[in-house]
Amino acid sequence: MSKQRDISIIFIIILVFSSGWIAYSAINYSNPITNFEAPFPGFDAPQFSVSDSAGIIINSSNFHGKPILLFTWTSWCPICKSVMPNLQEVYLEFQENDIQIMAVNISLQDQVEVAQEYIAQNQFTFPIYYDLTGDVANKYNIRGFPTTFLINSEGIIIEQLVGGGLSTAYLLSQMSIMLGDN
Amino acid sequence: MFPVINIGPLAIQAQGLILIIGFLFGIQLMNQFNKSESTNASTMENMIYWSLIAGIIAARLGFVLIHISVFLKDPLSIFSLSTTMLDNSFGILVGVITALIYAQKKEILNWKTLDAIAIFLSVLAPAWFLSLYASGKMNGIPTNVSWAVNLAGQNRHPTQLYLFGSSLVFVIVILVITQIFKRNLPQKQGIIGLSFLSWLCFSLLIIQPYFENSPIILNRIHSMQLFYWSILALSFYLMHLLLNKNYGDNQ
Repeated sequence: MSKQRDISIIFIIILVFSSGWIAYSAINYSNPITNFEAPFPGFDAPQFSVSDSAGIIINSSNFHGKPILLFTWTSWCPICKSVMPNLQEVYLEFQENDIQIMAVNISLQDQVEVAQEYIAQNQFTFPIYYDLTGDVANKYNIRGFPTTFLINSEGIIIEQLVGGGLSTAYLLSQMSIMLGDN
Repeated sequence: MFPVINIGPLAIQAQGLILIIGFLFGIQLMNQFNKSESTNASTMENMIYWSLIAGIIAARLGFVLIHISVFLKDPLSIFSLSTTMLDNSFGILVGVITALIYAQKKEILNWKTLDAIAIFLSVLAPAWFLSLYASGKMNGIPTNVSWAVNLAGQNRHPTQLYLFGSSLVFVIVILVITQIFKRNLPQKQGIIGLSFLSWLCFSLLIIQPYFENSPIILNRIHSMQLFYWSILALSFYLMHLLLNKNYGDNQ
């Protein structure tokens, strides 16, 4: 019987210690919200600059207050190419809404001419940008294509997706969430 | 963080790969445990597979229901192979219910089953936490500790790795303990399952304040810590009852 009692005492000690830790955490770790830029969900989306097809520099701060769908791609990436028609469909559906689609070509890993030719051939009309300096690739830690970030109107990354899975239905649902329709 | 593992032209999603490996190892260890306990290993394995299938289907249906307006326009997209269109909470709920129904039908709804599932989950847990590290989710708060990980130029607590280490320790400890139980305390069924639950809740309770964006109530208290404390207390109470019952049975 004493063994059972010993175990019960251990349980009580652990619970008391846990209660103490909760109290200690409340005093010392009440986590003030930090505004820190990092390419991960829950953090502020890093600011970046890209070029449009005319070579004009566009800063992401231009879209401050708007939800952003940031899609990074290259013309040699088959998964990216499979997603592009879905983006076009979503763009046509949401072009009247206050949401920004940014399909950023990671140009340091691509040939801009080839990418532009691909866009022209497929007659995509959604906004295409070119990361000529590697600003997006570096700040968003792009390791695979496509990598997609959903950024809410407060500039916080709410989702990061690497690879495929960006069906039209998924994109439409996420756009609706970002616009607060759901 | 390593969201993608590049092998030549192949870009493999690290998170998915780690979870699959954890799942397979978990099943393997659970089967070994069941064989040693003379439990029907295939029934238990089938229960996991059925709950997994039901969970995935439910997760998709949950997503469809939440975004019904999108799917009414294009109903066939319900069957899209996209892995992103899943509502995890609903999927987990249905998966657990399916496991309970299956266990009841097969008459294995007992403490021994909980122990076997705990063995499976104890292997899956470290894989889960490692996958979170790989994908850059559940990050820690800024710190100056020497073992911090650098996240976009700022040193932070590697919270996922703390939980990975903690749950890995549990797997090793549980393997040792099961040997002890087998030799000396054969009637103490349910203890492994409840120990796993306690260990997991205790680890999360300790590490919770180190998470970035940990939910706070009353301006200061980490609400999840209260939740983990409640589960911990409940697990201890059930263990206390089981140990006393077994003690009584032994007399």
